[in-house]
Amino acid sequence: MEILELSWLAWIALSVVTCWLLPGRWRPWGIAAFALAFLVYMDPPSALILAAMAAITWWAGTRGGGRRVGVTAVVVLLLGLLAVFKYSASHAGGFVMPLGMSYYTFRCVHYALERYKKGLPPHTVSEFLAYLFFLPTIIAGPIHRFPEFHRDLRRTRLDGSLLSEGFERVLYGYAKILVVSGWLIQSRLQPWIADLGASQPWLSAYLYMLSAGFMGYLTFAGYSDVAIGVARLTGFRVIENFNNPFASRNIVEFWRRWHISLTSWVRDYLYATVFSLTRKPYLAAMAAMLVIGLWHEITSRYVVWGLAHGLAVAACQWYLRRTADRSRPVSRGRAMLGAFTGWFVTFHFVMLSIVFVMHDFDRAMDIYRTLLTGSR
Amino acid sequence: MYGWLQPRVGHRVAVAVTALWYALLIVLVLLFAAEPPADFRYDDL
Repeated sequence: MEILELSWLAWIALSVVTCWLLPGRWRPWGIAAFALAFLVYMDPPSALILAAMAAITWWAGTRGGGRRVGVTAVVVLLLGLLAVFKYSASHAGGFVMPLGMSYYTFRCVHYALERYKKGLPPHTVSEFLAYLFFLPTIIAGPIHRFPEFHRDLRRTRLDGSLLSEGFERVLYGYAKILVVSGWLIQSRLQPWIADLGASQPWLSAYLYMLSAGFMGYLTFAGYSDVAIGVARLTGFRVIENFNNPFASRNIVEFWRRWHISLTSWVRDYLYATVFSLTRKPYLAAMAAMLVIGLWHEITSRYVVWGLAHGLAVAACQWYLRRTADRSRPVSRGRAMLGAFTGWFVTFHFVMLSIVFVMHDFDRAMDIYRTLLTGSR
Repeated sequence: MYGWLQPRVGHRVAVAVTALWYALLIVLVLLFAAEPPADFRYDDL
């Protein structure tokens, strides 16, 4: 279902209205039931699988609660299930991924681990289900956290400014997807870039790389805006997903600004764990970036992509630690040159890596060859 | 947007500008939602 289809908009509008009309104690049940009904309408097997995952996660928190082995087994089971579906969906003839499973699994793991660590506020099963089955974020994230969701669920009251913010965010999201990414870049700029290819192959390949990068970013950021906006319309403030990532001056900063809900999850549950076990920050960075790559798709190109970003993050961490020790003052001009160089290198590294995952290997190599040699 | 404009230009102007901005965005989105997406990739060069 495309997000502009009338049926999607109808589901969203109905969910917002239902959410506000229901009395407080029925709201969590209403939120969960509505999202579950949507899943059943869209794809019944997805609804079944996600419901089973919710049951397992709840079991880990109650009967398996307090027992390390029970929670560990559930986390391994959830991540294993995701890996099986991801691997199968990434290869021809495999299973179809259940709707929203990538985001949903990470929410389940977050819940199971935080409940085990006693990091969650007291709550009911209906609030747990409303958290997992929350229509605005169920398909394309963000991977929001339970404590913030629970706070909003308990506090929610009709707030004009929140509704206005939500409406505005939804509009910006659609404008990013349809006007800037779809119309301006895809329908207008890219055919012009293609025409340029005959006379100026290097410039054409370079502009194509930039357009593909911005198109990918704007589409994804637009989806996040729509999700965040609809969540606000229902009275919830969910985590932001992007914060001007292309303004980053190094790759570590980039990963603090790009897909924030995913990177913060990986930082909290993977990077921190690997680091505390090994005391090796570079190994933790490599593991974190590899998992981020595999979370997108279990294919060799995402392994390469993840390792390349892991190496870049580890190199950047090393450089930042080395330069942090220097107390020598730096002139303003030199500082500006350093900032520009950092931005330039980061921006182009990210753009080149996007080209790598957006195309098959041979096509990506064609683009790199043109960028290196200037000829096709 | 209203929250940013209101202390700068006053309530009435802020409401008017915000409404116009929303209207423009809605028109643009509806206009381009109807346009079929181009299926262009580097492979087509």
